[in-house]
Amino acid sequence: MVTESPIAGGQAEDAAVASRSATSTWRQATLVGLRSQSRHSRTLVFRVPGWPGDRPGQHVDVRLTAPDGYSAQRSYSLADASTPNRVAITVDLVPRGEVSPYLVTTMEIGDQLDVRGPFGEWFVWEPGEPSIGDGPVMLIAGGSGVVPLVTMLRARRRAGDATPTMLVYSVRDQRSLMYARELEEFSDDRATPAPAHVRVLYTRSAPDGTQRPPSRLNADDLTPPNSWESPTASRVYVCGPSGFVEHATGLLHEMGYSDGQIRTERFGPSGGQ
Amino acid sequence: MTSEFSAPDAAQAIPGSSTVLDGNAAAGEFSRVFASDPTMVTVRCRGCGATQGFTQLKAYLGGPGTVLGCRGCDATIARVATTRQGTWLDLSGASSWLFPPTS
Repeated sequence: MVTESPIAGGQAEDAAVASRSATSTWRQATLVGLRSQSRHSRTLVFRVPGWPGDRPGQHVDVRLTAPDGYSAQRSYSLADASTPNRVAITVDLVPRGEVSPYLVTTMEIGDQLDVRGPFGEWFVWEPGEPSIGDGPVMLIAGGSGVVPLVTMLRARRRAGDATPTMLVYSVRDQRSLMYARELEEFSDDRATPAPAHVRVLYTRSAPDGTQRPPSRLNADDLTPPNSWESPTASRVYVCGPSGFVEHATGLLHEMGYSDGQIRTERFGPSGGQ
Repeated sequence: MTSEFSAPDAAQAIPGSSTVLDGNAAAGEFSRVFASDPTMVTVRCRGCGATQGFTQLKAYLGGPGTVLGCRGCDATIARVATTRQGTWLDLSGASSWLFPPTS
């Protein structure tokens, strides 16, 4: 168990950290916060001296090293953007996974791992981006692919941005739903300056009272809400397992979207959501 | 030049690998050698001539290195691997890399 107190020689260490500003350098990260997001996912907040902050949609590499020197490395989307010296990731448990069981069930406050980044300028949406203009923007998530998209919605809310925005979130069942309360806040009619349109699609079993029968994402699910003046989105972000991303981009192409309008990020192992 | 390179090529990496992702997941490894975020780069495949964004390349992370494959023809585009000798960078599967101006 690592304590929170500063170690001897802290000043020299601070100087070393400051000089290692490159994103490709591994930095030591200390777990300082935990927040459950669903039955099998949680947000981990790390203190990372020298972390420059990040943009909504970007990701980090995480490295775990065992006492015998064996190390495993994974990429995770950042769960909250633009906080200097803080890194937050939301991790969904991958059954029989090598890294996620430790992050979701074992790691405790004060424990440490290594992070580097942020990476991924391409999969970024910040309110006011000139190439998107006034939008609209469509966000399509498969499973835990919702993480970077929620980070984008948080940035939109924080900036007081009114770009018409729809989140289409495909999830296996209610137990797997992440960020449930926050999704309600985003879509609340009283949200300022404008609510985001949120569609949760259940693929295996839906809670009582859900009109849409459980099924895979289809073209109707991607039809813009009536409130949009434009029949299509200016930009679409898709994040999910590889199979989900291929399926969603196929639907978007059939609807007339071009590759230039679509930004995708896949995570593994591949498999439908 | 690549004969000492032990990383599997893309064709060998597919079976048994459950981690076929995209270039987003390889950004960290490639940023080490390019000294910048590679996700805005456009790459042309030497084999089939297809032009694609770095993030749209297939990424194989399970082996001893990080391998990028063409989404059009599956040929190996690039790979990075670190051995005791150092870090190997093989770009022989690409005919060009376009780095956009940084803002």
